[in-house]
Amino acid sequence: MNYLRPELLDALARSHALGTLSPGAARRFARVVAGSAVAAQAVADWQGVLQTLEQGAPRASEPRPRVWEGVQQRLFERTPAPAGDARGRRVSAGAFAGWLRWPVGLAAGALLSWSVLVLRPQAFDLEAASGAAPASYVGVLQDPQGHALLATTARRHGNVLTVRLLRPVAIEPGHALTVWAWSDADPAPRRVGSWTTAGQTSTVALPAPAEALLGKMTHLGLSNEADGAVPGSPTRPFIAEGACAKVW
Amino acid sequence: MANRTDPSDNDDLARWLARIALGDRQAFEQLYRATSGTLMSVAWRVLQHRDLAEEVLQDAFVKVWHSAGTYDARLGLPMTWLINIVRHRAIDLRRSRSAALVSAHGQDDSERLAAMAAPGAGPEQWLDTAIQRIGVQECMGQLTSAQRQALALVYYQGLTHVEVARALEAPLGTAKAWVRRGLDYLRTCLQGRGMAAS
Repeated sequence: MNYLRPELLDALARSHALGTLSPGAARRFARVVAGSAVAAQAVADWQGVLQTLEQGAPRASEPRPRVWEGVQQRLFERTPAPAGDARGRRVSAGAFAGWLRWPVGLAAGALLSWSVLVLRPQAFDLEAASGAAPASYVGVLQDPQGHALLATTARRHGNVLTVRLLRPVAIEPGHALTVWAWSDADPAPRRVGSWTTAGQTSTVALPAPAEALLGKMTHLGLSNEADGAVPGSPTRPFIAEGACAKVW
Repeated sequence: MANRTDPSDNDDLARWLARIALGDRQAFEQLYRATSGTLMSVAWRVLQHRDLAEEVLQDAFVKVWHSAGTYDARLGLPMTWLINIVRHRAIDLRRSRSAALVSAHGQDDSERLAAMAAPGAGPEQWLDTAIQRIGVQECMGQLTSAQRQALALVYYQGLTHVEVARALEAPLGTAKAWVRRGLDYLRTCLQGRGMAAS
């Protein structure tokens, strides 16, 4: 189905903004929106129309202080994830805890990613046209000792992930280095791409535009997976992790 | 805690969101203080239950912390983005806990729907107030009362088309058409005043 046909897109965007799509249809259309600037704009336009109706809405009583306290508790006083959950197979539970713990790890990673891309665009063979880096998803992944191991970049609407090893990484015979992405809201890692070439810089074809793959992701991980039948989720420990930052 | 915000504050909201994306807790608290009252009202309207509305508000701000970097100023105002997060979370919760909501109100579902759809009840009044404040009374006056009621029930209280049909005792297809026509009219009226994208 061509969701971007104007009449259909307008109807879907209207229903999506209003909240009347069925859960399944809403999930399918959300994926379309994540990968299409036209669809995202159509939804945003309808959200803008709907927001005008707020002008007639009554005020409720203020939220009680416990709401803000609960937000802080959930975000900043988190206990370690229990073993065996979606993130449990990572080697990182103890080793990464010191630097990766949200939000410091993400903030530091995002800042590092931004610095690398903007200050050293040549590191990714990106031209610095008009002095500004193009809109990209960027990651700098660190090993458990905190050393930068891998830099990644993908143009926001591009289909290629450029990866650059910042330290030597041995690729075991019959294996492929594989980049994974996940978000705090959905911590199950999703495969982004794999490569087997040993060079310092490689380009990895993405199965979908970077916007669709990485738009909601906050973290990246690197593992050394058996080549050939790369599974849907990592089978080996992560050898590096870092923030997935949007630079635009 | 001061909680009010208005459209003129959108520059502040956008700046705070950008800082939250980098892990700035102070900006996060500023955003909460400025918007939580308005957003609480959005959740309460849909759920009609204070505890559940506060649960939604808490979930929404956790999501805002994690996804502030996805806010794109080119697509719309930050308050629109925030309202959308809260409203959709409230609708999800309402639909998943409809039995509990019915119990909380001590009424069966049909009585509750009928009360929402009664002439002059909250949603229709809220819509009329909004229409007056936006200044599109004449344009929106071409809608029938049923069309306005259907739009108000879906937007303000997050009813499904099926619930609207039951509340207004109309066939499902008719209820869908009322909502669609109401929204299309609203957009056309706003476009006529330069308040919506053409």
